[in-house]
Amino acid sequence: MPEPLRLFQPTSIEEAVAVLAELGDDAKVVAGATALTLLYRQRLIAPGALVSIGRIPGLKTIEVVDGELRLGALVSHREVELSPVVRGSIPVVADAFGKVANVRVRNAATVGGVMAESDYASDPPAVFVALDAVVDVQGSNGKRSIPASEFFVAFYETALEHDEIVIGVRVPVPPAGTGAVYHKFVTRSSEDRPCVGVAGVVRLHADGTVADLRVAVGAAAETPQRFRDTEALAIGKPLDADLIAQVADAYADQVDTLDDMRGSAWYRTEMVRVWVRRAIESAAAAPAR
Amino acid sequence: MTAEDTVAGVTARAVDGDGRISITLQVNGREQRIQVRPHHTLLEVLRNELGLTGPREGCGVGMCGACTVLVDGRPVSGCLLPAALAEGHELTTIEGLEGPNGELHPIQQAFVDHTGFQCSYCTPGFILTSKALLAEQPDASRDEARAYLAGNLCRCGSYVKILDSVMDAKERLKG
Amino acid sequence: MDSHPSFAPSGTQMQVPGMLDANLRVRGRVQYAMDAKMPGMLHAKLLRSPHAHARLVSIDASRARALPGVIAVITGPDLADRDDIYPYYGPIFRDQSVLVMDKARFVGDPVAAVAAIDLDTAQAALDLIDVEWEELEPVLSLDDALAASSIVHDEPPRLGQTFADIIVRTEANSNICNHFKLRKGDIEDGFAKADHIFEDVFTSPPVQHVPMETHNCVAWWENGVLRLISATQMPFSVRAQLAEIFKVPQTRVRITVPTLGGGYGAKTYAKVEPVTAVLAQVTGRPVRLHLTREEEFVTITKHGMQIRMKTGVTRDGKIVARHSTCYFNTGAYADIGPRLIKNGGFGTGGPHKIDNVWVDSYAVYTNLAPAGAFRGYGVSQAAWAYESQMDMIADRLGWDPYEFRMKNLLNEGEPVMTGEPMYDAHFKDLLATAAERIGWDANVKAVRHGNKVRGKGLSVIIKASVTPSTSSASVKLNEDGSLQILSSAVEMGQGAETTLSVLGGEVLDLRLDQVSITHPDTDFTPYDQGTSSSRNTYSMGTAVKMAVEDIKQQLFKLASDELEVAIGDLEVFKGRVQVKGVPERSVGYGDLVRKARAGNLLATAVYASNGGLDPETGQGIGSVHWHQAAGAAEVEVDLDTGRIEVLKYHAGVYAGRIANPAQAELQTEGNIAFGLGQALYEEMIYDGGQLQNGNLGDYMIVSIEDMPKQISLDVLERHESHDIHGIGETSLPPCMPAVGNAVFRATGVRILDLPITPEKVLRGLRAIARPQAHGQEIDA
Repeated sequence: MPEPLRLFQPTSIEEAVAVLAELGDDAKVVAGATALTLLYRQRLIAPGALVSIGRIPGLKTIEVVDGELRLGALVSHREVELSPVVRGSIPVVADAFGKVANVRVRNAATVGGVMAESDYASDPPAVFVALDAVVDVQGSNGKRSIPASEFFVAFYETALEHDEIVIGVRVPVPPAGTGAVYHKFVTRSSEDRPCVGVAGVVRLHADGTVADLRVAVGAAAETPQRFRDTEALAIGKPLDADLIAQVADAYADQVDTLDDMRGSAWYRTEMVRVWVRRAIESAAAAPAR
Repeated sequence: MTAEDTVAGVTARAVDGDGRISITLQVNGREQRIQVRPHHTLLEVLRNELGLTGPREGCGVGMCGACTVLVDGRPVSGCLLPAALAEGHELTTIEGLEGPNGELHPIQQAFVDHTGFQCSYCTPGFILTSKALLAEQPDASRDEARAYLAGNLCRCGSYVKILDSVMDAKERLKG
Repeated sequence: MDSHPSFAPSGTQMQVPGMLDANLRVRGRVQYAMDAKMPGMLHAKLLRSPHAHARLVSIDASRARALPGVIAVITGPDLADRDDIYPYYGPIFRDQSVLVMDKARFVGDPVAAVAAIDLDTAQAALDLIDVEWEELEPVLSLDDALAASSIVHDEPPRLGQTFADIIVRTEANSNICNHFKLRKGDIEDGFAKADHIFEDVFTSPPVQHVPMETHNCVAWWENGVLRLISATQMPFSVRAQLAEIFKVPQTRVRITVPTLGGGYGAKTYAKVEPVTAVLAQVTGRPVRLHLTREEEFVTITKHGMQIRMKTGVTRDGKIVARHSTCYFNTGAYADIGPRLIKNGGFGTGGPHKIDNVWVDSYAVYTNLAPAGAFRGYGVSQAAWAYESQMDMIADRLGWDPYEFRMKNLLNEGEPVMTGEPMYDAHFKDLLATAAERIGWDANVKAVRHGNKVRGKGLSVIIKASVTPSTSSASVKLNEDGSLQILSSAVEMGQGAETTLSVLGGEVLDLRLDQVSITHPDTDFTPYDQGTSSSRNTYSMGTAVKMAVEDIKQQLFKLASDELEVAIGDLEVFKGRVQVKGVPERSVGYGDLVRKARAGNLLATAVYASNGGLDPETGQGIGSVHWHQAAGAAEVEVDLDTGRIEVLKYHAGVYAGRIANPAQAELQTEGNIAFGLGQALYEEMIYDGGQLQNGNLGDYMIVSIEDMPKQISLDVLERHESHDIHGIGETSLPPCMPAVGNAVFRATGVRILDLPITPEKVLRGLRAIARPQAHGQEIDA
């Protein structure tokens, strides 16, 4: 019989953080526990302790406050997907969460979990990066907020310290007239993870020139890829086919694409080109709100 | 049985000499108190401790749905949920669907009538997922059913008749 | 699609559900082998080789044995020391050992086995086994294998009792495991007559069966008898193998087989049983081994294959010669590869009348997971080659692929590739219906809407059923008039038990609830070669019908005395024997059984088909009858991404007589699901001998969303036919070439290597200067 796994079920964030601080890397935080169970069963990790945060109150909120959509860490993917609050404020967030895996995983997996896992082939991270979301975390040294674009560091690696827990994600509600989309492109079954996933956010001035353009590419590299210099080049220009192609080409040039069974680096580069273009086109055409 | 394991004021779930904790699950309307190791999944516990053979392992990675369990009415992969974290929720397996005298649920009857299966290994998962679907979307279209059921895999490829079954069940449930 | 809540075979009183035990199945209460629980049962885990090719230098399991809860650990060298065990198995060559004894031949080759009180303990024990390996040069590809700088099996194959139809032709100091030859006509003369000769190379990758229930069994020893409950398609083959391993008579091995959670060929021949039986023997307790999905991926696979196909045609469109050189990658162990290369090899002759055909088909050893029987049995790989090439030839010569096929498909009485005449030929009917259902138009190649382009593709295939083969069945008619069928047919989702009950019951015009059928139990149910090769309904069905017919004759004899009429004036009607057309003069079966004081009427029948091929020419009887199918696909290709959507698929298959309509449709639809996965993305990806996608997160199978929204079926029945054609596999092989041909017609991109991934299509589109110049365009 192997060493038993210790199970801690703290009832406050402070307690959870204290346990993590004391146990160090030997302890893993779980909420829906889907990703962790998967890794554990495949023997890719062997933690000595689980810190389940499921009993901590206050982490299941979905609300819009001060122009921000706030999602608690324990909100499930499925709750985000179906939430009238999310659909009514930033529907692309609901769409992206609705495209993750299958309904069972979406019922179990949480907002905090998908952030903390930092799996390159997840869908929500790119959307959060494109929307300038902020990740609220809490550790022994208190709370801090990390921009989503800085939160994802590498494969399965985030800016979290080992004693820090994601407590929520805040997403600024884009101004009226902004279109936002997320395209998940799969190369195999409907059930596959994305070969590339592109989040596009576009707002145009009345004259058709670009007021705001944001693009983040997921699943193509270790972390979601966003190039603000490229985005900036588009501001103030008319959003025509040439401009879109310029942005798409620039993304294709800049993303250091990876190679896996869903596509080679070459193919991913080409797909970044295609799907950045399509994301901008459909974001520009998306019903303004 | 063993000394209390407390870290930073938080006490770990007490384990016995065999490394097991005591948990209480609500399964198909009955309260079950069992000893499990903290890493044991709900699927393992349902099969091995509670003798429920309807939920089955197909992939172990949450992809196939053969281990589907309804948790508070919502489908979840039993293979990816540590059993201890299922405490406090209403769990329903296929064994919980039939009536008190073994009457088939209308969805089960529809699967019988359309032969919505071949080897039937995946069938409990499909039926439970269909139940959740039709609870959430009583008027689900065939395409909506396809989307909802896409995470349940049937290697025999009985999909056409599975959809026939679900669409028929929808009408039966409307009565 | 029509559904068939129940079905009444004409002229009988039977109401047939899709599946006899449907109620149990929807309750989740049907019992699989893995549901069996035995008192004191131990759980087994296997330690597997991390290397593709490595010599076992030493293995020390003492730390594992010392772990509390571990009851036994066995290793390959332990087995080598035992005189009472012959530790080798394999259906043709005994080239696989129960555990690695000298060297590991693939990543995942089991080298030690643990039996412990629970799985956690068994798993923990694996980490405590110390193994020293000396890595050897691995043979990772066909090229590696043929270069033979490293040899997978150093010794000549150990032969054992095997099948009547096996032709063994191995080569020393090489990785050639077997070679099948077919020589029909004069190949040089054939090519000399050709006006055009085409030579193309096609490949298919190894793929996995992915039965939802992985391999598992429980083994225990009871009074010197080895007992097993196993998820196997072939209880008698497994019994013979275990008797050989333990050097006991076959009567000392008893195997029972509950319903299977899918098989598709994966569960043919011994797999998990030998090692589990040894653990049970060593521990004296029941032991269960149940593979994880990851282990399943390296237990048995479809053969990866390369085919070089040279075909000669005349200017008026007749195929006059074909030479195929086929390399089947059989992996580390032969399994059934040496026979499969025969079916796959002669299968390359296709459903065409070709006077001159040569085939050289090789099974080749490599250091990859073993390949064996897989739904389609070599014909999928063969059809991918010849049906793709049919369209390539048609395109090169400017012909309509439909007409080109029609000109060459076999007619009644024309010789197939093995030389025997084709009878009950329906290729042209099947193709004509397929073309009609898909809306084939010779003048429209591609229809383009923006960046999406649509096209259609056709294919037709021929497939053998294993010949010669043997099935036997026993039946008992009880004194209440109920009929019991004792059969070793394995129920694996295909409705075997339902169909056999129908076939048996209708001979006596019984209601279905008066018929029962047993699961296989090698102590009680008579011999069957195995539930594979789409042979069960025909072969076992024939044996059952013969046995029940025997009972019927016994009843007539008894009734003739009872009713005082000649046997020829009697008939059966609703469970009674009656004077023809005179229900008033009748007697119930039960009454006859009781009056005869027989207790029950008994009958046994053996159905053995005849055939076999000449070892030098491959000519003879290749199949008791030939299975026939057609496919038609309409695809839409995204020209920016290369992604393919199959909009519509039509499957046509000749069934002879349909024994169970619901099951006939289910199996055909299942073939579409299987085929589209293999067409579009299924592929085991290796890197340095390590499988990269051996789980269902990384290896994709077809989901309900991946199925075409429009599916049509043509399960062709000839009502006067009593000849049942197996359809469990037949409609699978057309899928891949139908999709490939549709993609070509849509885009001009010809993919020769399965699967047809978006990336390959996009590369193909880039390689063609102006893809939009291809075909006829209709802009939306």
